[in-house]
Amino acid sequence: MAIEARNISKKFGTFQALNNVDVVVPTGELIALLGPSGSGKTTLLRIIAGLEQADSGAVYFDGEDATDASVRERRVGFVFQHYALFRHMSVFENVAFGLRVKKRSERPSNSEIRDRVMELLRLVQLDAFSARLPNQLSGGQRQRVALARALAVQPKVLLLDEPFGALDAKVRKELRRWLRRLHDEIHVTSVFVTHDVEEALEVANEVVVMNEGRVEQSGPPDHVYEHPVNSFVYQFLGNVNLFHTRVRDGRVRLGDTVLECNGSHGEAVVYARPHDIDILREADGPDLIAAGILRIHAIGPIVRVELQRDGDQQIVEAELTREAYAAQRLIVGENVYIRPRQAKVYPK
Amino acid sequence: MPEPSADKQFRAACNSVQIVRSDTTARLIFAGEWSMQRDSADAASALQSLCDGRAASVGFEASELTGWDSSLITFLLKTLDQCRVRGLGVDTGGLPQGVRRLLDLATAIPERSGARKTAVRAPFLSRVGSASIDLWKAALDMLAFLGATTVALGRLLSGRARFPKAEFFATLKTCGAEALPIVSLISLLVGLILAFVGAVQLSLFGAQIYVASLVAIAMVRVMGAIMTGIIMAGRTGAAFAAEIGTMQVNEEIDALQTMGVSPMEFLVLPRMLALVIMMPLLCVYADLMGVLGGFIVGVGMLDLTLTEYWQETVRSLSLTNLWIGLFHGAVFGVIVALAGCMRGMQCGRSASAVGTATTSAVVTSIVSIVIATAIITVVCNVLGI
Repeated sequence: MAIEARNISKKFGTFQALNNVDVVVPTGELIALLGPSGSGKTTLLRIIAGLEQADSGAVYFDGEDATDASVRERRVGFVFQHYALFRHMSVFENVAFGLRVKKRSERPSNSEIRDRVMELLRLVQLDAFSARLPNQLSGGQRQRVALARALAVQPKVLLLDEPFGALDAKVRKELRRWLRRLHDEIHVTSVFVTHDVEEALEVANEVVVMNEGRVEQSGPPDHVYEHPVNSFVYQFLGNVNLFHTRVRDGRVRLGDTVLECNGSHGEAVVYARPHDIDILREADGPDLIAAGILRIHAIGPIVRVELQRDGDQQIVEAELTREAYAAQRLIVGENVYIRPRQAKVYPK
Repeated sequence: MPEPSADKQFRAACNSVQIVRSDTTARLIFAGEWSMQRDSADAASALQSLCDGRAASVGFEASELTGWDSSLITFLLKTLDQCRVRGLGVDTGGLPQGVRRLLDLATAIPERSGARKTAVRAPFLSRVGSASIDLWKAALDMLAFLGATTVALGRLLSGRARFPKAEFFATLKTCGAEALPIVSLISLLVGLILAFVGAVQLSLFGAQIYVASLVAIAMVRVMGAIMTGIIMAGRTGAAFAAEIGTMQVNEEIDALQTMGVSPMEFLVLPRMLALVIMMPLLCVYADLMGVLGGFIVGVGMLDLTLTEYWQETVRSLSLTNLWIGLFHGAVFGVIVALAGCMRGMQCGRSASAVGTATTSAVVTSIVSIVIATAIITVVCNVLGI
């Protein structure tokens, strides 16, 4: 089922949580709402679910206006950040709950409920734990129970609010792969909220980057990462180095690199990712940026080098592979030259 | 050259500061032990006299100082402040090195403005006004919540609501049977107290026998219900607020809603019904216990016989009294359940919000109980029952 949210605005007191937001989720897709905390992504999700009312704007499910439909009528499955499992019920009863509270006419028989719950528990690989209470499970297991519970009522839409936010890094990684596989199996239209860039880029068919209650950019993960429309998206998607420069005749010079810029004149900022910065020991041309090495940290597979530019004393971060670092044998205190392989210019 | 004149001397038992003035300078000479435990009453007057005098600069001398702590530093800071205000030159050279370093530390960073608490109290009328508006809002909230509960009850009666029977019976048990011990204790003691206070007065007239009717009517008509109401507010109302508040914090209520379950029907209704059913029953029980308490005093202290006490109790009680008592009980049941569930549902999203919700549930219940009692009493009085 396709979801459309049109011109959604929402205020909490004087705080504008959402400002004319448009989001479209095509049928069967898995999209991520990505943004820093306070960007309004959870509010948008709750408005789609019907847990919160928008001040203005409309929500369409499959083209039908669902703005005034109650949560019950929207038939959504919702997975909460802190699982929200019913503490006094066993895993089995938690998953069965949504079915047991259906109207008598719609309620499946007990044996059907049993079959469906056990099937779901197998799907989330927890069929051996059906008799346990939620507090006897680990965080990852609880979140899988919550997912099974959300799926039990055969929702038309699955909404996940930072589903892996409360889990440790390793479990998080496993679970998001697993969520991706699960989605490929069942193809229910899903929206998930996250502030973890890697998670969004890895799992979603499409990401919607939000900031301060507005959508900054949306599109396939690769496209968004390769072509950020503005400096916020560029900065949010990864580490960056900033170089302040001036635009002359639609061009910006940074060292010996010349970049095209849309703005004609004025100040501009050049953004370059740390892994796009080369460190040279010998100047192989004029106009290179000279810098001194401040610190070197080896972090797992990469080596992070902190440099200070000679001119304006700005700190620049570069990331090398271990091999490149070993080949160059950089030393702290050494004077070197840096050159960005790739950079983006945004007018100030 | 004129002799430096000691124009004023300050001597306390253990510490002192003496001001010696010459033409342009004033020297503060510290002596003895400066400590927080010892009173340095002369410090303030020394400061005053320093301010009154005319000197261009101030110096210090501390050769006779035997000990010091923060009281000296405080005094010096005040002095330095005064000197700065008056534009006097200060030479701290004569002070011990430790004192000078502390002074440097204390004056190194200027005081941040706005860090000091400045309590701004709104004017009396505006406080009364905003409190009244809050009260009005709270009353409206409560009415709205009562309305929502009534709608849920309507759905239940028409068979459209999902009613959790297991939860209903569990609540019935916790707010009924499990409340008996504390209700027994409190009611028995209230009966005893009523009888005792009454006995002292009534025995002046030799009318001890009326202790029985006093206790019986007071307990059955209103005291039994009030005591039960207050016990239940602290015990069950608080528990309701905590349970529902925790579910709110845990997002369980949102989860219920997404599964198409109305929290009003699923959480509030069973609690409300259970308490409304149990409260009148508990009231009857409390009445019995209160009468028993009165009986203990009557028979034990006032030498009334068992039959005398019993007959007087039965004679004075009418069914009307019992009905009024039960009505009180039912109303209090609604109030306590309403306040508990409402505060729970209004609970914020943090762990500390649960505590606030619980406290506020108890306060709301008790205030409402007292107000309701007053209204019912006046109405009964007007109706002549």
